[in-house]
Amino acid sequence: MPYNVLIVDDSKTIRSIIIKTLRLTKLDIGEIFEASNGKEGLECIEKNRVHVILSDLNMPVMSGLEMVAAMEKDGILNDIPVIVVSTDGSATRIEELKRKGVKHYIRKPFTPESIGDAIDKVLGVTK
Amino acid sequence: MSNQDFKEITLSTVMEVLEQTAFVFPEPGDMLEGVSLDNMEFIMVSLNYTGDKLGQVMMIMATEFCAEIAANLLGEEVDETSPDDNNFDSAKEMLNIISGQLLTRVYGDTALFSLSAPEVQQLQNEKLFEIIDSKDYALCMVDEYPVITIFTPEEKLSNEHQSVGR
Repeated sequence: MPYNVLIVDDSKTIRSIIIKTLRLTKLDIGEIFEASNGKEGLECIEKNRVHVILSDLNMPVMSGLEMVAAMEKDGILNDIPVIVVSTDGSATRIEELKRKGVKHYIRKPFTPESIGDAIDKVLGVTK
Repeated sequence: MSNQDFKEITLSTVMEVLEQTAFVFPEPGDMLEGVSLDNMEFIMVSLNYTGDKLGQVMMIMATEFCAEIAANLLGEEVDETSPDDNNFDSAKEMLNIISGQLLTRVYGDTALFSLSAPEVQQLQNEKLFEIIDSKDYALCMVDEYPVITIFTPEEKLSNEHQSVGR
């Protein structure tokens, strides 16, 4: 089954890189949706079937963590796993994100393997 | 940590991130060894960090190199006529990634930071030469393009004040 992916990042460059990277993974990727902040991300998952979200943290309008909190409130965080893709390398921050419901963390710069493995793990594709 | 240590960590971080992310092959540079800045226009991209420590990271690069980075990041042909916004967005992302890596290498992985949104500005030659004269930067070369990075943590400023006071 192809997986629909939502990319939430305010940088068009990073969204483009993630799209290209996704296509280099061995995953069966279906539709790829893009949003430039958490608010647009929430609007996208209301209208579309999304299997996994790759999200930045710091964005204007609504941050990645605010989006995760809104998804938790709406009871959809367990249905659509969120993977944070960020420059922040703090172990303290990563622990905090996991406590708040983020399923996985990828640090920039990333590789097709790191993106593929993370999606594989949160969707339980091969496990 | 001495100012020289900061400079060495900055240089190795910039070189590694440029290589891994933008697929270019930088080498350490020296302004005294005939680096030509003629016929190049430069931009400066900068951000501030707050949290467990405060400071600033700035990167100066030629606008032509900016276009090359954008093309490499996106896996496209270099297009110097591409809108500046696209090229500048790539430069901002490079600085973001470099800053995240740099802060972890300097302060360890338990320190918490927030990075401001990077800002880009055209750099006047006068300001560029002022920075070069200060010798307070890490320089690497990617082919003929210099990439100048200035890491200014608050403790570096304190070191400078102490040196002046001695």
